[in-house]
Amino acid sequence: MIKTTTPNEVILNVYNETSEKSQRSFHTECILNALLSEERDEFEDIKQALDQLSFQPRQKRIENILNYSAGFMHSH
Amino acid sequence: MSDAELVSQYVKGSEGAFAVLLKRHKSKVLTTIFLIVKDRDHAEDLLQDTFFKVIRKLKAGEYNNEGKFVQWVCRIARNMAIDSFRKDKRYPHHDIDEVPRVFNSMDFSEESMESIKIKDDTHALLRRTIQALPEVQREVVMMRHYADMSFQEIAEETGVSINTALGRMRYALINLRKQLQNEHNLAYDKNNYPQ
Repeated sequence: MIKTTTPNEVILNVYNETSEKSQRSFHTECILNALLSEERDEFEDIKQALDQLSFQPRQKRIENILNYSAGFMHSH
Repeated sequence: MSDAELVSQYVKGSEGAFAVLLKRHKSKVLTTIFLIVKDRDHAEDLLQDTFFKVIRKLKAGEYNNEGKFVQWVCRIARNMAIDSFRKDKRYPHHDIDEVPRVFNSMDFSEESMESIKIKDDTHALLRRTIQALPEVQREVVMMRHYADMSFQEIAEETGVSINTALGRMRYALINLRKQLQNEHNLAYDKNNYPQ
């Protein structure tokens, strides 16, 4: 018999914070349960978008930080 | 080389080790800050202040290397950004939206202007949507995605059970999806673009 996944376990599976055994069981349940599978896919889409969200500082800021570090080295 | 090894080398005097740490984590730290404060220049000021503080603390031997380096830096960044956000609420200043990267000539060689524009627009929309989340949900999103924390670590850091942390993430994802879907429907509403 297949164990029913709780809402929080869906999150743990989407974020790969479960054991391999649990992931296999979740995968099987998704095959048999279209609603669960759809929910997982939606969460994974958002997770992927969040992972891709990234802002890069301007080079000048990086230089300021490195200069501060170098100056700190010499003054202390 | 691991962060812990780089920190150890930096404390012993290697500037190069710090440059690697900065390059490795600058984007996650800036993203963490920019999800709290409103404008890009202010976020970069805080990024700079965060790393100045990190340098002083490392040199003073105030980092014990027990946790992950990026978590420690992101915690400093988050606290500075929250303090600043609260101060801004008391003394609001004119909100200048982020400067699009299309004006940053450094990017031209790697990406076309069109793809940069699309990416910038998507990121700006997602950022605004995250900023609109309830604070506890936004906090979990930031900690899990940009500070490399597990749900167990988030639960410990925020003083809640792991089930509460997971529930907050679940509602955050549901809310983000709903909001992004609404924006998408609005953008493609035929009434807005009659044929």
